[in-house]
Amino acid sequence: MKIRTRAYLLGLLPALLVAIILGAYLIINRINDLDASLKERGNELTRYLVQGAEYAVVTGDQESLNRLLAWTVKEQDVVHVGVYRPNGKTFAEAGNKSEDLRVTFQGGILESKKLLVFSMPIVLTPLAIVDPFQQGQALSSPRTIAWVKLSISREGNTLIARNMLLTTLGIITLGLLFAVILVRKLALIGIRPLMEMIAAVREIAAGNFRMGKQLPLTARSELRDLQQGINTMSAALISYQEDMQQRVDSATADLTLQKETAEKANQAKSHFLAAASHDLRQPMHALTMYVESLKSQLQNHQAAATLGKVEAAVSAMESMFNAILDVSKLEAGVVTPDISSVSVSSLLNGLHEAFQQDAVAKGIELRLHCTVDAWVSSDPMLLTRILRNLICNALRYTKQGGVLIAARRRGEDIRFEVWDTGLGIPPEHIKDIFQEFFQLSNPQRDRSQGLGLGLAIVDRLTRLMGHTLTVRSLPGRGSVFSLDVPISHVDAMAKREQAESLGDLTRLQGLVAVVDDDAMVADSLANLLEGWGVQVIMAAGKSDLLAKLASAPALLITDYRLKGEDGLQVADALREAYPEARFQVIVITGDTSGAGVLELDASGYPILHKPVRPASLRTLVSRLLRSTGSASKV
Amino acid sequence: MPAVRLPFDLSAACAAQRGMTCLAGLFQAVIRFSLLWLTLAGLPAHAAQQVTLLLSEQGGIYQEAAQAFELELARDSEKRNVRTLTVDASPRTNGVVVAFGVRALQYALSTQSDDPLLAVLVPATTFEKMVSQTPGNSRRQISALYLDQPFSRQLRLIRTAMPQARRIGILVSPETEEQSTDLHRAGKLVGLDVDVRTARNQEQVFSSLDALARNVDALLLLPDSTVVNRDILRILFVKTYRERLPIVAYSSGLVQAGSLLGLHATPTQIGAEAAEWLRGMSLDKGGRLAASRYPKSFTVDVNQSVARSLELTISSGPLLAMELDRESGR
Repeated sequence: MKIRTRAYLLGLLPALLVAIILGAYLIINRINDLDASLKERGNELTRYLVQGAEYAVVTGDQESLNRLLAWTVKEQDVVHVGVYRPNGKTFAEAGNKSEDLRVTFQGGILESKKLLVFSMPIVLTPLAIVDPFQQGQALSSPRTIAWVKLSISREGNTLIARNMLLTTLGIITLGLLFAVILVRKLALIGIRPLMEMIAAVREIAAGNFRMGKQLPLTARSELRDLQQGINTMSAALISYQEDMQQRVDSATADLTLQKETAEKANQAKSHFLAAASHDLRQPMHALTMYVESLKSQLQNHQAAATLGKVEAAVSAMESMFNAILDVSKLEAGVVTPDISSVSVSSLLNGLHEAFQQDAVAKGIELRLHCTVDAWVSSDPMLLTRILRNLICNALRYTKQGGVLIAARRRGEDIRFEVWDTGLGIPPEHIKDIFQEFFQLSNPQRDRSQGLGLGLAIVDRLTRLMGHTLTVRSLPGRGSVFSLDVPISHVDAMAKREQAESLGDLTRLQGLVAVVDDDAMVADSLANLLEGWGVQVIMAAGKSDLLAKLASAPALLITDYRLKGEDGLQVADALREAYPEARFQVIVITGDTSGAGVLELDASGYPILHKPVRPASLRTLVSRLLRSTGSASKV
Repeated sequence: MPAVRLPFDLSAACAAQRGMTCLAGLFQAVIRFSLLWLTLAGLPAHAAQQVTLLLSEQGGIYQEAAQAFELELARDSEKRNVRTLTVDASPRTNGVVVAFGVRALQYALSTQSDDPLLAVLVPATTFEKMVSQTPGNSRRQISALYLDQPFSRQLRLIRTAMPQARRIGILVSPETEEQSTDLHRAGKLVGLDVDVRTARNQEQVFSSLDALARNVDALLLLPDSTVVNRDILRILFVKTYRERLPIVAYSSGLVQAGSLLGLHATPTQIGAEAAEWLRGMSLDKGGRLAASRYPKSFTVDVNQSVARSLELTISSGPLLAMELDRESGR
């Protein structure tokens, strides 16, 4: 208990107890006295009434009886008064009769909470005189000829009692206030130095070593030493704290320097990656186009098998580039998810089908377990990407057993799960697996095992879309990657969109302008496009294009980086030349970072990154041509 | 004032005028007297007279009156055998029977004797009623010295004590209603207006009194159990006091209780007068019982406290009695 509380208890409690007990005793006594005196007064009044009413009752003098009662009822506290015959009939009454007044004639006092009812008989006593003329007549006994009832209200007493109570409470309150003042002035002043020291120690405990100000040395005796000691301790602590602060500051400065160095190194790595991927991309792009066009030319040729291997190698290389590009793009922050509704079952069915062949080739089982028929709210492309990477990862690290793709409802989310019976992840590496280029069991950096970017991309994409990814794993037994995606409730629209995106088997039509300063790339692209059925005009720049065009094209496919200009300027020039015409624009770029990427992103044109996959190009081209009305069914 | 100086036995005369019953009684008395005389003639002339004093009960007014009677009777030299008996012992009576009180009279009447019977301490109306209602006494000599005072004397007392009083109120009940004629007559004799009101029952007493109080100067109470009821007597006194109406009553008890004046004969007076009267009749010498009458003796009581309360100046009782005596020429 605090010293202050004790002082108050000591000062107040005895006084409060005495005040309450004494007050209660006095009030109860006073109430009893009041009650007794009220009864006495009632008895007196009733007796007086009995005497007064006897004459009026015997003589039948109603008027004087009424007068008597009217006078009586004016007496203080008297509520009602009545004179009744022994059979209960009324002689006379005055005042307000209440229900409480129904009293049998017994004499005495009947008490209720609010009333005291007095009843007394009027007894006729024969006069004992000697009358020789009434010889032999016995003296009759006294007989009751009427009853007087008087009701007195107790409210007056109640009021007095209430006032007394209030006054007593007031006095007690004043007394307590006085006691509080006394305790403050007399008792607490004595222990003030102690209280100040306690407050100072509290401040120090809370970390404020300066305690506001130094303790004044007001105390006498040993307390003074204590005050001095606390001041000294405060000073020592302050100097110690300042020393510590200096050390922390210098350590922080060192750390900042190291961090900046590391960031610079990371930036340099990003720049290198961007530059390298851009430069490698140009020949990769052309190579892809050539392989694609060569495929149709070498049909049924003995070199077709070789070409198949070339294509596989190119494809592997392309996917590695794509992974690097994706990470670059995610780091540059240019990817914005386009959230719509995705059908869980069609997504998983598609994935299951796509990876079935790989699984069979590896000799493991790929199973799908999907019990939900729901739609989720996510970016279809990015979500597909995440799941692809997870399945791919699972297949890669599973030597025997199988991989299970599953989806189930979990609250307001759908939980996608990819189970594998692979190597598993030791607990200490769970965090590392999401870092770029980290591979758990590939110390030789065998590139057929991928680059180690899959899970890094998964991690970034998941965070980008706000989904939740969790990993559980037992080394040697397998792993489970779970992805929680919120359920979408806009099913109808999503279904329609889904239907629209189903693969089209159209033959394309229309005039397509291809602009690239690299003649090899332009040529390979034109080759591919012509194979799909469109008419192509090739140009190296905007002036060259405008010179070659006779009319506005349905679609412009331009490289972003041209000699002395860029793809966006070409598009602008074309719009100026044909302001009336409606045409679409696709920009192809090898850039993965820097200002160019952001500028392109702002232009709103569809962008393809080198090396462009012919399938992606075909999908985009066919959609754009259809929107300008240049495609027709085969 | 010759009109006022009336013979004091006026009431006896009045009683004689009460009609045929009185005349028939006189005739019977003559016959009885003859028979008695014949009987007595056969007895030795010097034989002592037998007198039985029959008391309603031992003690009280009866004893007092009987003692006075014996004393007075013994004043001459005649030899008499006087026996005093009470009714409770159901005694056999013998010789002249003097019945003291109503119970004694009732007993004596019931003995079916022919002995002369003198009733004392019995109200006039009670005596008349009892004698007429008891059969088998037609040949017996029965007489009474009434307990009451004659109306005329009571009215004269009022006039003497309160000369300013002109109208006198009297409350009667069916029990005493028949006396109103006598009351009016007495009033006329004395020279006072008499206002008689009848109360049919006890409840009507106060309403009748209300009507009376406004018109009269004094209230004369008669022995009437409806009006002078012990239950309501106190209230009656309070009421009359409030109305400032003086009451003239017929007993000392009523004077003590609150009446202004009381006119009555004490038991001693009655006993002595009865003895004197009997002596005068000389029954042992062939005399006959005289007719019933009111007592000649009387006492006047005055309650001076009431007089003071009513702010009246009233002479003392003895003085008023002397004055009444002087008026009646005694």
